[in-house]
Amino acid sequence: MLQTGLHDLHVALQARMVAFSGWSMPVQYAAGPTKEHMAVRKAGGLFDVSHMARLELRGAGVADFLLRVLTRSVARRKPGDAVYSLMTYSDGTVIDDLIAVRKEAGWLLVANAVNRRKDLEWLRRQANGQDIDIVDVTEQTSMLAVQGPDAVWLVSHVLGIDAGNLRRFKARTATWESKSVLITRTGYTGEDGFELVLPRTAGGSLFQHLLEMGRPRGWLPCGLAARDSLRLEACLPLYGHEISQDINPVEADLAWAVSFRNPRFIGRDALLKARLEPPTRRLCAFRMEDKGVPRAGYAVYDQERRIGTVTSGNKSPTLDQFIGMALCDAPTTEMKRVTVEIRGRRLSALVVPKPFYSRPA
Amino acid sequence: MTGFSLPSDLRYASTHEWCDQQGDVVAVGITDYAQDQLSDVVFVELPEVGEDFETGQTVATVESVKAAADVYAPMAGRVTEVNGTLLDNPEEINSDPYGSWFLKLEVAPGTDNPDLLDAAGYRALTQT
Repeated sequence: MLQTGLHDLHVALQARMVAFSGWSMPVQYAAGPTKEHMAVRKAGGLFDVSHMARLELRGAGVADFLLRVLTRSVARRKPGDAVYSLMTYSDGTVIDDLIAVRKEAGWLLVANAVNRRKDLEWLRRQANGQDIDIVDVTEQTSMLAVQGPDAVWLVSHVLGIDAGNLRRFKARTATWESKSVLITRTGYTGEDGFELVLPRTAGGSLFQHLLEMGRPRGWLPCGLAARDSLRLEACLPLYGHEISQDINPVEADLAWAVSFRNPRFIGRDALLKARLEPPTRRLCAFRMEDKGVPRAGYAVYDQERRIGTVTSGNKSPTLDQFIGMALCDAPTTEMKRVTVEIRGRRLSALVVPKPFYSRPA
Repeated sequence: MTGFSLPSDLRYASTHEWCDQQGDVVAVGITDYAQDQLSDVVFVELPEVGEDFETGQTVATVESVKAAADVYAPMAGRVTEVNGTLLDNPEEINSDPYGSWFLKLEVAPGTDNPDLLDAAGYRALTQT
């Protein structure tokens, strides 16, 4: 089992550690998932996301290479740009979703922990024979997510920068304990926030310092459980749930993350075809009208007809309602009443617009 | 497993229910250890008043952000009362597990379940 550079700190903070994609990770701290979730919505939350795959790509051929393996175009991206993209097989199914950050020298790909080995193998196979170095820096670095409406204040205050000047999906560097920190204005919670990558050994002291400064303003350390309920409210997809090798990006409402102006990415032909044909399935959001907790794998019905499967579900702490996403036969119209089979009972739910939560402008 | 509260006047099932037997009426809830393992409780399903249950049958369900768990009848009996407060405030199970009784069972006079543990026995079980 791999441990992040913050492991001892998590234990000291009374985290409950669980196995996640080969890592021992905090699923919650003393406050519990619901309070952690609400802290992120009201002030801020700190997450250790060091389990996420971090792959450095360097060499003269990298830009061309990324045009081939990513569905978004990186053609005009400059140092300091970050791009959310998918990686697809030639049949258009999704290998992974990731954020690609253009650094001064080379690129950093931040991908799902569960796909780290698969992504590495795929990238190395595609890069074979070209002038590209692919280095897995996951275990040499720490990654923290600093998320919440108070994130600009906290990051500015602790790192001595004007974090408010960094626009969404932009990157810059700062210094912590004379080590370089890569900062992107990105996140996976539906709130404003930043993600910080720095040398592994410096992660714990930065986390601790952020927490000390943030606590009096309502910040909490947050585990994987809160991360999952936050991203669910924001309808952000999770690999293995809303996206996978069995779900194409059009079905997952991720067509926006596919740029057909990029002429030669792997999977383009299949996705072009998928875009022109009406999808047979579509990801929809629903909230329970009857009380019950929808969970991944539960069946969704329209009258007596099975129309889909829940991909993610839980109680929404912000809305105080049971919510979920489901992959359903298209067209499943909004405000349509469906039923979800929960532990042997068919309970009423309403298909609603996505997302459940978006942060106040 | 330290720091879990275990009132000595209650008895405990190995499936993590507590029961408080007062004559022929047995109040049933889940232990501090169980609520901690479940994490934040978001939903409970309670039986109807008047329903009969055998020992070990599922009488209620408790769902947390993490998982769903069944609550088993520690003794055979008929439901005389359910705690409706928990339907709207399931988080009380986390904050006050021994105040949060789920239901009360009326048992036949002289009924007992010798498999129920005292506090020390249950503590030993959670420490293995």
